Amino acid sequence: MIKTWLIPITTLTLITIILLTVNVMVFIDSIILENYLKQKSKAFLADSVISDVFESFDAILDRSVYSSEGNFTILKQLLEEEAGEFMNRFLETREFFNEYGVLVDFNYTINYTENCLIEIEVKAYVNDLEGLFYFERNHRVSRTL
Amino acid sequence: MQYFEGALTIILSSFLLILIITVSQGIRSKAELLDDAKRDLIVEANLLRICRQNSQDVNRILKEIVDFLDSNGVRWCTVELFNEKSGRILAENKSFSNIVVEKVRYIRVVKISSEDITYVTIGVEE
Repeated sequence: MIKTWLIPITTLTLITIILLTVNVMVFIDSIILENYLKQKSKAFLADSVISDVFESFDAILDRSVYSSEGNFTILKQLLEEEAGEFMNRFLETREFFNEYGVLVDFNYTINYTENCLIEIEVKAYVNDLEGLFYFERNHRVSRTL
Repeated sequence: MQYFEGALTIILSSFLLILIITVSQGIRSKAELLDDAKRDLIVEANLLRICRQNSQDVNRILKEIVDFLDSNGVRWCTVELFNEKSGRILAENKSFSNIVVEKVRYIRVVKISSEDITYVTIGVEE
């Protein structure tokens, strides 16, 4: 025969288990979603910065071509100076990105051809410091003197 | 026996009530946290868009950011812009100027151009 006091105890135990399970599920879900949003925010910013870097190289090349007034030697000098300066300036943002938990880096190569075609190739890398994502983007811009 | 059952029911009901309140509060706080994270992401995306559209003029960026925050009901207390050319520019929201520092979270973005790097920091009420 079932004791009467067993009924509330069993019911309560069941409800407690259900509530705790729901709580744990919500907790785990929220942690996952929070991390996802955090990663998305990092990736979003890093992607935007890479686009900025590519646009900056376009602007640097345009400016150098314009300022060189058709002189190839001056163009080379201006371009390398400006690109170097930009690289140094970019290094200042490293602390910001470290705080953000992401590493954004890039390297560039400038190619000159005989028919006065100048081409800049930029490779940018984004590495999450928690190791959750990595991506790279390439950009190529060329102008003729 | 009846007395024992009555007492047991009252104790267990109280326990259940406490448990329900704790769980619902836990869920609510988590939901608020996620809501804040989503809102921050939207604000961040819009900050980057504003910076991209007005990359040359820092004052215009500041004005657009303040307009965006106000029109979207973001409870912001400070907007700070910093770059080498213009230095530090700070806008304060008088409606939320008395908020304790511990209750403010910061949204940060950076805008890079070929000539300068602009850091934007927004203080939002928790």
